[in-house]
Amino acid sequence: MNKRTLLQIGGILLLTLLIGVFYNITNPNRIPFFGEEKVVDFTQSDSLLNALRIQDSIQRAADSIKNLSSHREDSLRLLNEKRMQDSILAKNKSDSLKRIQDSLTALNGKDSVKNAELKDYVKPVDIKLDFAKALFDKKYRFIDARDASDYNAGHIQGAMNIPFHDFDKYKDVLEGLPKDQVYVTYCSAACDVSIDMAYAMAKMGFKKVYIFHGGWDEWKEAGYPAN
Amino acid sequence: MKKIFENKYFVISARIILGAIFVYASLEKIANPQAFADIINNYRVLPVQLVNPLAVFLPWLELITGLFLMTGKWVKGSLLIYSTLLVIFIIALSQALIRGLDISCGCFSVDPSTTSNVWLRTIEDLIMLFFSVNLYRYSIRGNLKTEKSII
Repeated sequence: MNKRTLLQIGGILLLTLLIGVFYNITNPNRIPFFGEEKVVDFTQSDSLLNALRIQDSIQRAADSIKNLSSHREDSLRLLNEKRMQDSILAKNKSDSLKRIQDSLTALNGKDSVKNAELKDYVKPVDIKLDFAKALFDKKYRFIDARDASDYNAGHIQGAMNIPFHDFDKYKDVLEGLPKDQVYVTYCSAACDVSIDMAYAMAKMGFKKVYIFHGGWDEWKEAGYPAN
Repeated sequence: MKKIFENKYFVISARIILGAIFVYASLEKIANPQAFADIINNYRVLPVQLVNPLAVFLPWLELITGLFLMTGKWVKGSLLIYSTLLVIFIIALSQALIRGLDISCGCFSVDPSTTSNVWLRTIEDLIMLFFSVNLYRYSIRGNLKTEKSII
C-alpha cells in the first residue's frame, strides 16, 4: 500500500465523517451519536410476586372460612356467629387487600410516578418468569411483540400478536385497549422488541406494562401453557 | 482468470456494478438510521455505545466508496475500504449464523422482518469480495488505468 492509497483512504474516511455528522445533525430522523444501554432491573419482580402470592393466600383463606361457615346456616346462633365472622373477615380481608394493593401500588408506582412526572409516562417494569406466570394465571393480557410468522410458530396461550415492527399499523388496536389494565410484553429471549413495545405503550398512556425478558424461549422451556 | 481481470471493459463493468451495489445498499440505511442501529444491535457483537456511531457513518462510507468506484476516482483506496467492509460484513454474518441468531441481515433493507436471508447474503458478500480483491490486485499492478478517468 503506497502513500497515495493511504491518502485516498484517509480522504474517504474524512469525507464520510464530515457528511455523516452534518447529515445526522440536520436530519429530522437523527439519532444520538452515542446510544444508551438498556438496563434491565428485576428488583421489583420478586417483591411484586411475593405480594401477589400473599394476596392469593388471603383470598384462599377467606374462601375456605366462608365455606366452613355455610354448614351452620340452620342454627340461628351459629348464623349470628357467622355473620359476625363474615363481617370481621370482610373487614380484615378488605384491609389486607387494601394494604397489599397499596404495597403493590407503592412498589409499582414509586419510581413510576416520579418517572411519569419527569417523562410523561409510567416506566414499564422488568419481570422474570415466575412473576410472568403468576400474571398469566391471573388472566392478564400478554402481548407478543414478535413478527406474525414467529407468533404463528408458537406463542404464550391467549397472547395477542402486535408486531413491534408494524407498530404504526397496530396503533389503533392498542388505542382500543383499556389503559389502566395490566399488560405483559414479550418476544423471544434474545430480542429487544418487547422492551421497545412496552415503552411505546407506556408513552401511549398505558400505566401497568410489564416486560417479560425471558420471553417465548423461557416460557416454552418451562413447559407453560402455549399455543 | 488473469485475462478476465486485465480486460478493460470487464474491469470497468465490475467496478460500476460493485459501486452500484454499495450505493443501493446505503440509501435505505441513510434514510432510517434508527432502524439500522436496531439491526446492528441485533448482531450483539458491539458495545451499545458504538452502535449509533456505526449506524450513522457506515451507510455514508458505503455510499461514498460506491460512488468513487463507479466514477473511477480514488479506486485503490475505495477498493481497499470496500474489501475491508466486506470482510467485516462476512464475519458479522457468519458469527450470527454460528450463534443461531434469527436476525435480519440489514444488508439492503432495514426492515427487521426480512429474516432468513443471512446465508444468501454471506455468499453474495464472498463473491463481491472475490471481485474487489482481484480488482485491487490488478489496480496495484497498474493494469487498472482508471485513476484519472470518470468512467
